[in-house]
Amino acid sequence: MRIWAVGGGKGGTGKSLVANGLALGLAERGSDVVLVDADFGGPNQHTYCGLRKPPTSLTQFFEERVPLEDLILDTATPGLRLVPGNFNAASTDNITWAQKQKFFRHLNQLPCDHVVLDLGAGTTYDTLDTFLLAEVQVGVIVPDALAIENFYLFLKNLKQRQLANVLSWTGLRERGRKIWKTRAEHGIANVREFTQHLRGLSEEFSKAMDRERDRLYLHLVLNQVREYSQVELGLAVKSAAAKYFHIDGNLAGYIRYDKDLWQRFGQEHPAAGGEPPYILHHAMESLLDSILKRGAD
Amino acid sequence: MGPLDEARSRRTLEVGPDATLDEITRSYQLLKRIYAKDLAVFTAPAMDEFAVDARREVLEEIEAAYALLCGKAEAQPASPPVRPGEPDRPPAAPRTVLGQAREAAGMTLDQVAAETHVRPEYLAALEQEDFQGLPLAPVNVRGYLTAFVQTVGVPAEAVVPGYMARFVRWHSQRR
Repeated sequence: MRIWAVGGGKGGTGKSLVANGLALGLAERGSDVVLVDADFGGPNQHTYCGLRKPPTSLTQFFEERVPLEDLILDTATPGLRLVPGNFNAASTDNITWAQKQKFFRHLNQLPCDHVVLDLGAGTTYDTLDTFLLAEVQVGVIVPDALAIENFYLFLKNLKQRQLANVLSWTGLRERGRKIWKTRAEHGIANVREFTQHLRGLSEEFSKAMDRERDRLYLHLVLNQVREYSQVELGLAVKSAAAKYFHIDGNLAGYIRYDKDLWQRFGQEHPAAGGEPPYILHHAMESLLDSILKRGAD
Repeated sequence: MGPLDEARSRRTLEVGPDATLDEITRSYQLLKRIYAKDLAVFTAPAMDEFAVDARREVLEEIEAAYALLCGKAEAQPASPPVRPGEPDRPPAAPRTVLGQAREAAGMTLDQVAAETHVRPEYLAALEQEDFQGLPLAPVNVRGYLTAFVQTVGVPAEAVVPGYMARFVRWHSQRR
């Protein structure tokens, strides 16, 4: 079973659309897919999937301790099932550490081939940790400076969260904190040098950092492309992620802007599916090919 | 960060281990387009990561990586064309690839200048790799060089990338 996460910082870039399209594509290729709406603050996947009023949601998982597996609902698409988000609870975008651990444990035990997580906007620890948990990490941007700026903030926070997690796992959190406070005495100017210093102190830390660095690979999706020249912007962001944030990845593909897309939401079939085969559907197929090719390599 | 070896150069230029010189050059040109200007549209100027110095470091590493990879490719340079019946000539010192190619074409610098409309002193500097004697802008050097090699019958792709890598390396060291 593989866990996919679709995130990216800025709201409105198309994370949910991409998560929905990838899940649908995997299902159409014969996989058993569970799409989990982990956008705790703004769930929409039930609407993307054509479910008007789902009988259950993540609310039952967090508030009534119903197992995640029992909250899976069928959709109109064979092979694609959904765990809807917390659409009937207020202030559900904050979960406790224990709830998060339980959520991750249940995700890992879902009976399917792929779990696709649709993450919310922003850089809360829950969002970052869920993104880092996934085996396939997909970032969605649109070609404008605002979305891109927020995306870099997302990447920066991912790296810092990764470092904090490794410090915790290796029992170095307190020691790390002290070193950081007195970093001038250690000749440490930035986070990079701080990490290097800790690598020298602990082989376990060093190995864990290597492992986590290798686990982070960004499949970048550029949404709402209006002209081909904007694709170079996607390549630039991919490059900057590697050069400035030390996160490897590729531009998995782009999705052309579609002024009529809004009309496909709220209907009784997934937005990226339906008849006749839709231009968005082709874009998703191409994205999926690119992502799966990397997995196969 | 370790020394700039071949593996790191490929990583810097975002090409795989099997990339050809042509692919390396295309990637280099793309990266130059991306990083040469302060394009706020793909950066986040408010973040420390995108400080001016950081971008300059990235650019310098791109140049150095390209120079290194071109230098490796140049280890097996394409032979200059030899014309049938060309008499053996005593080697003139120093003989450069451009000089040999021009001589093989049976042309003087003035004849090349007449064909290319590039000043003879620039052609001489190009031929001797006397970078001090060339205009500073790499785009001009590349244009003159391409015209030169094409006039003396050498495929530009066999000479220009390696030559430009040396020029760019010199240019960046000069700063």
